Amino acid sequence: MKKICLLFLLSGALFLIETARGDAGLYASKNEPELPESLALASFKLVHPLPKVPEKMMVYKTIDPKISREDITKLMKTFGLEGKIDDRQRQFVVKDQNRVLEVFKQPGTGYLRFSNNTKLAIEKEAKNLPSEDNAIDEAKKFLRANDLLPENTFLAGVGYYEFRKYDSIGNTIIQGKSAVSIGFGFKIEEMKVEGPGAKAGVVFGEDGEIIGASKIWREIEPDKEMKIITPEEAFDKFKQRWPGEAEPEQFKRAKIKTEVSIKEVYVTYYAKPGCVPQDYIEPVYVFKGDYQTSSKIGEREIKESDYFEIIIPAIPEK
Amino acid sequence: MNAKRSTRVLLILIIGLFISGMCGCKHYVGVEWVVDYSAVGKWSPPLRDDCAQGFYTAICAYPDWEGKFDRGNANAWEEHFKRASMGGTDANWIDDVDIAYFAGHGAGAGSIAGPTGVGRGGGFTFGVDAHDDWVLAAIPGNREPRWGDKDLEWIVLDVCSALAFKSDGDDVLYTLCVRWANSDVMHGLHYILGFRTLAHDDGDRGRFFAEYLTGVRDGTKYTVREAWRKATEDTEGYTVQGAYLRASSPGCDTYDDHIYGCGSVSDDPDPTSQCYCYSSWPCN
Repeated sequence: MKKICLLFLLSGALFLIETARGDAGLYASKNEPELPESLALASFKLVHPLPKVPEKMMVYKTIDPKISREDITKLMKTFGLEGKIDDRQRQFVVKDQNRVLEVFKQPGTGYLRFSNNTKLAIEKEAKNLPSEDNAIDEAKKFLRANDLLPENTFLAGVGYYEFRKYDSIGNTIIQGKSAVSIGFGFKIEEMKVEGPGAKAGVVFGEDGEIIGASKIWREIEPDKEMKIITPEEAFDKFKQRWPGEAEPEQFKRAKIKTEVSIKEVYVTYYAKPGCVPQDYIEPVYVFKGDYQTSSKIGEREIKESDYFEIIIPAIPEK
Repeated sequence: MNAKRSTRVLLILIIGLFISGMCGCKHYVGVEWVVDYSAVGKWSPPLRDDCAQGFYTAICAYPDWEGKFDRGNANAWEEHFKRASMGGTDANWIDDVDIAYFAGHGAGAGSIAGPTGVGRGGGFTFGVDAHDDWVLAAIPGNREPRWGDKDLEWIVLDVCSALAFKSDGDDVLYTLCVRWANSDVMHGLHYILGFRTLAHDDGDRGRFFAEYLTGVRDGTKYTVREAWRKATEDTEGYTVQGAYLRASSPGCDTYDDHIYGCGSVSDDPDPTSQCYCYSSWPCN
C-alpha cells in the first residue's frame, strides 16, 4: 500500500513537472516579449585577435616646465618678435602685431606655440611653397636647432592648408594652398603616443616663411609600474560604449542592428591637450574600426556606416 | 498743464528706457549635445556634454551674453535645427540665438533610402529618433536647415566630416555647395565651423574656443575663424583637419568677424549675392 502511495505521489509530481515545462514552452513561443521598436543591439567582430600585452606597464610622471623670461627672450629672437613679455598666471605670451608666441609654465603642462595669425589658414594662394622633401628637412633643422625636436619623435606627415571660393551659384572661383605643415609625433618606449598633447611641427607659408611652429609635449620621468586591465577587460569596457550586445538569435530580431568590426587594437600612452595640466601619462587601449547600423522602422529603412577610434584607459579605476 | 507735462516726461522716460534697452542688448548662446546614442545604434562618446557646456559656460561668463538653452541627449532634437516650412522649430531654438554649438556624431556613409543615407558630411545625428527624426540632413531634395534668417550668425558643428569635400572619399555623396554652401542653408548665417575629417571626442574644445573668442586665453579677442582654428589645434592631432565655411557679400565681409562685444561684426551677408569662402588646416 505504502509503495503504491509513493508511486502515485511520484507520478503526480512528475506529471506536475512536465505540465509546468509544457506551459513554459508554450509561453516562450506564444508570449515572447516583443523588442521595443527603438531597441538597438550590437554584434562585435574582432578582425584581428586581441593583442598580447604585458601584465604591468610604466606610468610616467610629468615634469613641471622649467621656463624663464630668459628662455622667452631667446625664443623671441628665434621668431623675430619684438614686444613685451606678458607673464600671465599659466603662461608667457609675447605679441608682435598678429604674431604670437605662447609658452605654458603651469605645472603639468607642455605647450610652446608660435603663430602668425595673419598668415595661417588664409584664403590666398602662397607662392613658392617649399617642396615636401625640402619642408621636411627645413622643419627638422629648425626644430632641432631650437631644442624642439627630441630623440623620441617621428615624422608624422605632411599636411596642407587649403582654401576655396565659390560664387553665388556654387561655381569655384579660386582654390589653392596657403601653407604646408610638417608634423611630428612623440613616442614612449617605441609606442606612438595618442592625443593632442604629443606633437611638434612647423608651418611654411609663402616663400618658405615659417608662419607656425610648435612643440606640444610634457617632459616625463618613469614613476612606477602598474597593473593594467587585460585586453579582454578592455574589450568589455569598449563594448559598454555601444548598444547592448546580443546573442545571434536576438540580434536577428533587433529593430536596429549595429555590426561593429574592430580592425585594430593596441596599447600605447595618451597625452591630453598640452595647455591643461596632466600629472601622469598613463597607458590606454586604442580600438579602431568601422560599424554599420541598419534598421527598418515602419516603412523607413536606414543604413549608415562610419569609422570609430575609441580610447579605453588601461589603468584600472580605483 | 502739470498733468500733460507729467505725461510727456513719463513718455520720454519710457522711450529712453526702451532705447537704452536696445543699446545694451543681450546676445544669446545655445548649445545642444548628445552623449547617449544607444537608441539609434551608434557608440556613445562620453565627452560631448563637457565640450558643448564648456562653450556655453564660458560665453555666458562674458558681459552682454546670456545663455538661452543647453539641451542634451534625449532633449536634443533634430527639429530645433530644422526650418519651419519642413516642420521644424528652428526659429524658437537654433535661429533664436546668435551663436550655437552642436557636439555629437556626424552623418556617416549610407544608402539613399530613409532619412539617413545623406552620406558623409551630409548632416549630423541625434540620439533619439523622435521630434522629427535622428538625422538633420543637408542634401538635395531634403535640405532641412535654413539658418540666419532670424538671429543666428555662427554655428559650430563639432562632429566628424561635416565640411568634407566630395573628393575626400566615395562616401561623401554630395558637394559642399549642394550641402551647405548655398543661400538655402546659409540664409543670413555668417559661419559654419567644423571639421573636414574625422574628429575626436574632446571635452575641452568648446571652452577653448570661447576663451579665444573672449580674450580669456591670452588677452586677445580673436576673430571667429582664428579662434576656431586655434581651438582645433589645441585639441586634435596632425591626422585631423579643422575647417570653416563662411558667407560674404559686397559690403558684408565676414572675414574679420568677432563675436558681439569682442570686436567688429559684419552685417548679415545678402543671400541673393553672397559668395562662399572655405578654409581647412591640419591640426598640428
